[in-house]
Amino acid sequence: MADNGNVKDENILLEVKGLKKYFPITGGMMRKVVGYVKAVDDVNFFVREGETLGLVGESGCGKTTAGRAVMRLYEPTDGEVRFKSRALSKSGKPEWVSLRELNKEQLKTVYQDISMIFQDPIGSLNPRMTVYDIITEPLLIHNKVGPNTEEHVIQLLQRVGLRPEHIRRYPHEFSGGQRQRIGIARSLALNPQLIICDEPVSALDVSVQAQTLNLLNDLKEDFNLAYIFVAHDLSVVQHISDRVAVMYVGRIAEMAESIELYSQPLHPYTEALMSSVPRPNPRAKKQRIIMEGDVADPGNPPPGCLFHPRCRYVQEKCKIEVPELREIKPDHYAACHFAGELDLKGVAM
Amino acid sequence: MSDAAVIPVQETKDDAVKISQSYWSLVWWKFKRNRLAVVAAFILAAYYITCLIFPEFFAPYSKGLESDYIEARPTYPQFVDADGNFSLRPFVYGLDEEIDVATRSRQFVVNESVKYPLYFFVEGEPYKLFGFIPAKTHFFGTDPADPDAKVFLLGTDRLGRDQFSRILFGGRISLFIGLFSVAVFLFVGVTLGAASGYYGGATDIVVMRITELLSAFPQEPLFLALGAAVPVSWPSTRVFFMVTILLALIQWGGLARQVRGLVLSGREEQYVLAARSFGASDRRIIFNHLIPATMSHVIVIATLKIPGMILLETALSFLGLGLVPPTVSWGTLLQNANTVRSISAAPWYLFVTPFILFAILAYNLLGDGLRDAMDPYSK
Amino acid sequence: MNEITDDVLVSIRDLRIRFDVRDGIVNAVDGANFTIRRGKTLGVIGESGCGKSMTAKAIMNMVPKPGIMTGEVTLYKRHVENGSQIVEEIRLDQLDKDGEEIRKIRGGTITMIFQEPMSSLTPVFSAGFHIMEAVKLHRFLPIESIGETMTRNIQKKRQVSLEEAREIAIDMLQKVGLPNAAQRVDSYPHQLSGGQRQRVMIAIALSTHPDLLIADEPTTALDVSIEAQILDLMRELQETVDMAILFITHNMGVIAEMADEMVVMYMGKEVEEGSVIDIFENPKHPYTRLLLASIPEIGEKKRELATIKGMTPSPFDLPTGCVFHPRCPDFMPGKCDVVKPLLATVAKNQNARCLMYDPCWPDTAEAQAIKAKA
Repeated sequence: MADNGNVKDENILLEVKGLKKYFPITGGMMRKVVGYVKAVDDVNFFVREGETLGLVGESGCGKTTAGRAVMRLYEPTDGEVRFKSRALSKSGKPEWVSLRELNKEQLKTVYQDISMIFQDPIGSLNPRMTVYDIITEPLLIHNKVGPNTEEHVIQLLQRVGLRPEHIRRYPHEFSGGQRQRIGIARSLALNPQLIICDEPVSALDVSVQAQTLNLLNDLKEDFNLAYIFVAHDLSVVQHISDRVAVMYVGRIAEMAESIELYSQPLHPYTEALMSSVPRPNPRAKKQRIIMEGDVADPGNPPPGCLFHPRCRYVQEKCKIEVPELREIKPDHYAACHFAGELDLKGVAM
Repeated sequence: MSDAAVIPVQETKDDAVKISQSYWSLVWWKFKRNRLAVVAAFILAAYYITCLIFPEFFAPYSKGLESDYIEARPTYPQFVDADGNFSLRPFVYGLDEEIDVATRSRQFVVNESVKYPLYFFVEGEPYKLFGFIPAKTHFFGTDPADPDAKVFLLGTDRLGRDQFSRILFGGRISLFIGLFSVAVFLFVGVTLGAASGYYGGATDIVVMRITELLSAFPQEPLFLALGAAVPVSWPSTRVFFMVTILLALIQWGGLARQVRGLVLSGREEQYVLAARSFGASDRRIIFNHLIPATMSHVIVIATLKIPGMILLETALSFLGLGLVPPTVSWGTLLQNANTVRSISAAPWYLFVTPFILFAILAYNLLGDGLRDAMDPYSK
Repeated sequence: MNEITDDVLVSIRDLRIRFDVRDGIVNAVDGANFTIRRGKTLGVIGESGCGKSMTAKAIMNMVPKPGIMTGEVTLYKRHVENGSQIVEEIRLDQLDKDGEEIRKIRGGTITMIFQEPMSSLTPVFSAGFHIMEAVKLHRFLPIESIGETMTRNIQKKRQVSLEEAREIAIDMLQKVGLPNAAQRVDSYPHQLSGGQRQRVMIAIALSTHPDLLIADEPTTALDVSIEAQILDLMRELQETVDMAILFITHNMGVIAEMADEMVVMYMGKEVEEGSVIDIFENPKHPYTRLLLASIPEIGEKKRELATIKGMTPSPFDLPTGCVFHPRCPDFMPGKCDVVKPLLATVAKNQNARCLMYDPCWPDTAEAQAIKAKA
């Protein structure tokens, strides 16, 4: 499994190639498949160890589906997901495994290395379980409950800023931010290498959001975690991410190091998206690129570049040919026929 | 992030040490405030103690003890005798047999000259408590030294057996059938409903088609057919279990559909996804997450289903399709009252109905109380 | 902001809304004072549960039961009568909740758009029907004869006819930028996307020529690109129709773009008010300051975000003194937890509810030090 042919970087932890997840659309009496929603279509990205990759895009762009398909919570339609697993290796040294080729038992073992944090701080905790039960559930599943479990749970609680006496309480007794902390403690229980955070702060108030983001950043350093941070809020993603991938209708439009992407975007969608974000500066010039119309329907996508109906730089070629994600500059990828040729404005850093 | 909520969710005060309230303690707190339901719970507890657990103790006689008093009228306990003398110890009058010359029928009249005092905790017929502890004490009865002394609180039947004792023993069977068939009903309904909802696909289609078939089937002819199919030679216990399982198997469809619906919505909950993301098995997700989420619903359905099962057993036995004598149940006891003649001659055969009535009523009130309590966050 | 001048449209004085519920009393709004000016946008910002939506409901006199509302909400309505302009004062809080008068104002003079455009439209009626209904209820056309048009002396008005209403509906949908308005007028809510539905909502709200549009988190449920479209649309329309907007949001960016003046709310209290530029550039109240520092900003790399320690208190069990004191970095023991601060003027047209600025509070060295730090 040590095929490192395509991996340039020793530090890469997860590599996703050509990931596809199509949901069938059924119709008629016999529930015949009449088409597919291409929720995730040919997505490529990688995550380095101890790095945060932001996955940003508007609703329906497939960012959440991509996160789940990586873990095979949604079985991918096609593609390859390679992961450097610690739990599955016998030698103790991390070993490359292809997640899609694993059987159920092996996959379960890999889940010790990858965990998830969810968007809904209420819905992601079972209301009938105490905090202790919630946090020990991953340990139970992996037969890791021992005499020190309670101590371990208390340490986790304290690490995420909750108190030991919270251990016997039920989720409904906590505020939204505290519940999210419980979810974070649970995701740390098995000491993972990678956490997929699915919109972890979008349901929280501004002040609580800041607390949670700071906590995630601290934990990343303490435990040398890598995050895939799925979110729709560009400013939050910019704040937390080392690298950012922008998705549009199931595909990656652009991927680069965070500051580079925000200051020198290469894809017109990234440019327009950033200029759309309302800036907390009343003197800022209210001048921006308005994207006309709505996000393309993934069940009925336009031909050629998916963004062409809303793009201000559209050319004939865009309406016919689907652009591939190309490396335009070192470590800066964009899926636009004219990437690098257009003069796009980023935000000042 | 709208703040439109009129009643904000109460948050824990950070510094106060507060006793943690689980969902069930909230349910209990709310249930206690519904007086009618609490009374119903006490009534049911009384029923189950007297009829299901200790009928041998509470009944003065065994269910099969025949006496010479055939279809004798009830003898009610008295405190004041015909002469106006008051005694603290209740007593019953003796009964004399008379032949009505006109109708040529035998009947019993009260003989006010004979008084049999009633005693509590008297020695009487030996029995085995729980089937193995030998005992003789009965809750009440007449003087064991006097062989003529008898007490028939609710009269006797054609074989001279005490109605009151038989109603208690009949309650044992009827109430047990309620519990047991609901247990089977729950097991089948919840398992199939949960499997149907969780796995979907072929399992779902097969289970749902079966429930549709069952609900479309006319129930009465089905019982007739099945009742006829039960061999006469079967021992009464086997018939009893047959009837119980039958009751459950015919009715699980509705429950299965509801559980399926709850599981279908529960499967989309993020905490289920979270459990899966930690590698939880299907078994674990179904038993630790999905089924507990349906529990409040299921308990209410079960509580409201028990009286239905009891009534169904009663009705079937009354029609002769369920249990048959010598098995004593409320249904078979009602069979005594199946002709106008027997009711006019011995109206005390109907005394079994108030027992059934109160049990059913109590169950319905309890079920309603539970349903309200299961939603403790509502007003 | 307290003087009543000609450009005042709605003035709110000492507004309090209280709910008596099983677990105690909740003061959803506790003494709000502010003024909405004609043609201007007032932003109300705060976290969930701060009472911002309830304030909006109070202006419409739509406080849900068992809420009890006290205070004054006055609408200054302009009329043209006999050629001269008069201003009618209407005490909205004193009107019958279900009466004729308030219903004329709701949806007529004051209209509202909500966060969730799907549930705000009835699924069985077309987009056009919704607009036509509002127009028929609230828009009246003058009955003019030739002589009257010369003098603009109009006495009588009539309801619009069905054909006119339909024309107005198409016109409105065009104005809010719905493509193919003439066809889209007959489409049903489920046939429209989220952004389009919000456009329809705005069309309904604007079709009656309101003096005030209350927008309660109108873009929270929308994507960034659609949010930008809607915000631009609202600004453009405001310029053309001279209408005031009360913009309720939790998003600092949105308020910076949209509002002229703003009110910051915390636990039912107004903690700071003033012009948007003043507050963003020179926030006085510690809560406002922290709130501004705690948001990640695009184009600015902050190593660590400022946070507000702890969490919002239970509304049943508010802290004594200043409600913010347990979370305040400038907490002065023995003062902030005892004295309830009043709204004090801190700069020209800027008020804050903090003891540091309270004129009745002696200017101690301690307070000075904190002020200097701020």
